[in-house]
Amino acid sequence: MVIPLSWYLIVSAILFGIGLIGVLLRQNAVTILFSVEIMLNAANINLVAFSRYITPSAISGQMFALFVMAIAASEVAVGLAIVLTIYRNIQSVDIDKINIFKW
Amino acid sequence: MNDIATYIIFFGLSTMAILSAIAIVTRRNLFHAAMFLGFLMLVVAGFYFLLDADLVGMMQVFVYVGGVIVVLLFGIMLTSQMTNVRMVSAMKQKGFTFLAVTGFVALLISVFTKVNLSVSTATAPKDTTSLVGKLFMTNYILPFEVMSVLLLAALIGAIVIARQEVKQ
Repeated sequence: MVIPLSWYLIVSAILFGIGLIGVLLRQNAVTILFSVEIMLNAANINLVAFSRYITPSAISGQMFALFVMAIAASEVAVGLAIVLTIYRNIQSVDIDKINIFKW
Repeated sequence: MNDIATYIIFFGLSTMAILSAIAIVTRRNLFHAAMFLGFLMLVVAGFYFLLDADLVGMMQVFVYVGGVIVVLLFGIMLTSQMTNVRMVSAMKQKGFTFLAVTGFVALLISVFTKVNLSVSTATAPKDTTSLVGKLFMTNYILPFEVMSVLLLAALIGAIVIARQEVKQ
């Protein structure tokens, strides 16, 4: 407990910002999936840090972190399946070319 | 563990986490990015161990490094052309995006440094695994069951989406 809680929050905020830049600026759909994973991990660090510093005996933050991990795993499976299907159809994972949902 | 060692571990983990996150976002080669993502997951597991969350750290290594990274590598290797994406970013709002995200992170950091949270001095429970198991079966039984249905739906959904359509 020598490290202040805010330091963990600052590290996770920086990680979240890097992931956000990746989601907003990269063209490759798989890199966007990677960046979403970075953001989910930053949120998880926040949850576990709050759980450790605010309510150490009731580990509700850790429970939420475990749930977030399960959601992230299923998100990767479905997201990658979608990317593979798009790749099979248009031979590209460049999101600027994926404009068939536009109308 | 004495204080100096904790500081050194924390700063080491933070530096590695931020550098590998930047590498994931900037790397052009998807395989390298996936390797850096696996490294970032291990570093985040180190954060969890530093925060006395044993089970979450173990699950981080099992689920992310053992599962998610392998699935992502399969996806990258199944599509050999996937790395040949146009490299130059065509975004016109690049500078504005950097400005907005930097402002957002700066706002968060200024809030985190100014706010005064009431930190508990109690020690963490020694055996988190049995406590997490008990909580899963008592307080969190409904989210737990919903999560199992969600995982099943994601499993079936991924197969249905990715399977090759057979024309009759």
